[in-house]
Amino acid sequence: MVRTQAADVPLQLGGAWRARHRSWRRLRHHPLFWIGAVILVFLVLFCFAVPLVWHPSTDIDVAAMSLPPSLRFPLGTDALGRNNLWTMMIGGHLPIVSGFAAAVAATALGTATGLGAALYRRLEAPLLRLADAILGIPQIVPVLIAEAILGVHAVLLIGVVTLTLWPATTRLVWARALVLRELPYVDAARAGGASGPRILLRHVLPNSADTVIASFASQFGNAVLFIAIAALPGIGAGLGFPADWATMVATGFNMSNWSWWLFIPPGACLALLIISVFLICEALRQALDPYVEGGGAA
Amino acid sequence: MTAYVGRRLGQALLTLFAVSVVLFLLMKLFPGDPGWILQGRGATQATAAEIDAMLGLNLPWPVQYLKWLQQLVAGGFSGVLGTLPPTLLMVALGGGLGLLLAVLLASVQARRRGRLVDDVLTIASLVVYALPCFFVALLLWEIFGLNLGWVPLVPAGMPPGAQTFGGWLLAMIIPTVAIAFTVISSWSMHLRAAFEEAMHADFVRTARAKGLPERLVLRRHVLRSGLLPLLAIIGLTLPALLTNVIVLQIWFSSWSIGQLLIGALQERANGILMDGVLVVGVVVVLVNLVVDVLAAFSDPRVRFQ
Repeated sequence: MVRTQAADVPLQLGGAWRARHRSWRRLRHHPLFWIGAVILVFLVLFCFAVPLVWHPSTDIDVAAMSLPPSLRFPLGTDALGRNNLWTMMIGGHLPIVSGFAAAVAATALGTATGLGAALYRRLEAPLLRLADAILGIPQIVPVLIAEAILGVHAVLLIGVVTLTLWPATTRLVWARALVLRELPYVDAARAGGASGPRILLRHVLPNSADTVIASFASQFGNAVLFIAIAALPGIGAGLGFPADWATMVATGFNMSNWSWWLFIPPGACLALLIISVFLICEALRQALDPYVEGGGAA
Repeated sequence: MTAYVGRRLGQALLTLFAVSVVLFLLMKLFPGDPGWILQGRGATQATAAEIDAMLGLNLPWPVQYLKWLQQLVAGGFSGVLGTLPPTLLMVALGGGLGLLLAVLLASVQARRRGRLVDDVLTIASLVVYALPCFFVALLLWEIFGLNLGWVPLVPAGMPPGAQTFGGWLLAMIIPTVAIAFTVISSWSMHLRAAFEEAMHADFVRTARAKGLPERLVLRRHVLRSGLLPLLAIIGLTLPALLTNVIVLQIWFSSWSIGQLLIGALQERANGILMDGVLVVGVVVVLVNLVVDVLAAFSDPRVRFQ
């Protein structure tokens, strides 16, 4: 990524539509976007589409216990002889769905509070102290407490993880908006009679887009991680069968009888999920940044 | 400087107060009436109410809150402080190794930017970023503990006098590496962005113009500009770092804050749980205070905001 002086970028006339069109074209030509999108689409199809048409037996099969990968069982079988490929598909449901839901909610909440704190001085101190207080408690504690109260439930996990994650976005967006609110065009908008919400939505928010997107990527990684931890047996409440990828990692770790096909694939899929979202966000951030060269900018 | 530290200290105390209030309210949502649980079988409504009254659970919430704080200080944090040394050491070892590798990574990438090495390291750090901490720890344990036998398979806590310090340190290698893995990427990415920006700054152009070798330009001028963003991101990633430490401790360590918290949670020991989390909160707030004071110390602009 090479940053150039603003003057090096040819002046573009034609308004917001053309800028949006240009960003979309830059995104389409960005290799990172395609790598990320292919991985993500593959994971989503693998976890949600394939189980619709293919459903092997999940009965306990004593004859096929702990088999390594073969043509019949591409990812082997677990200790009770169940097809690990199918478990892997179902195991992706919790991380994918709740990861996205929690990350979207936390980023939205954090962006709103961050912008509010920067533009309304009366909100600034209380919001930031609340954010600091929540950031002072390791995120896993509220998740575990909520689990102890209400049991494991995807919606509950999403809600609690959202509530623990939003302050990180608040801090980043607030810091970015602090810089933006001092810029001449915000003064100009205010002098022109624009209302607070209008300045927020039309001037500060679009220019904070790179911060919000970068924050979303890290929120997604954290959301997947914390939801994974919340489901780990021995820490959270184990989910039983079929489990999620994190539980599969923990149960696949076997002291006496190392079955790598039970352990490596779920861990790798968790990593691939986080990588794919990170890559898409990075490509999007670069496509929206007018100072980044290339990608068909001119 | 004194004025800034004073202001920041006041802010930290205010944050601590907010942490304790948030925690107190969280605990009030916790199920299980101690009056019933403590009696076991044969509990009646009347005796349960009696025990609640004895424990002060029928008092108004603000009074209960103050009583909790009073007992916390008087009772010496119910033994939580004793579990802090191994925890802090784990944070320090993991964070220290992560810091070392992050600085190394970012400076190599800044020097070789746009080259193959840069791309390879970017991909590698992305993979490291995405691998869950517990997965890395278990994988390393499997390879180096079970298969190769290089590290002992003892829990990484340090029950007083039960193990030698050397043996404990050996057992700490895997948790340390796993914790370092969680921070290397985000720290080095922030550092790299700061380096990138500094590369185009006027003072770097001046340094180059006066004929300073690129190596020295990087070491003397570019590297230092990364300090502030680095301090900021360390403060921001600390809670997640502690979460990972707690998870590893629950699995691998017999005597630690992670074990204490999970035990309190399973036994519904609200008091110990609250004290434990509050102590962790104090650690987070203190580290953030230190980070901010360091930032102010290293850059006068921060002081005069």
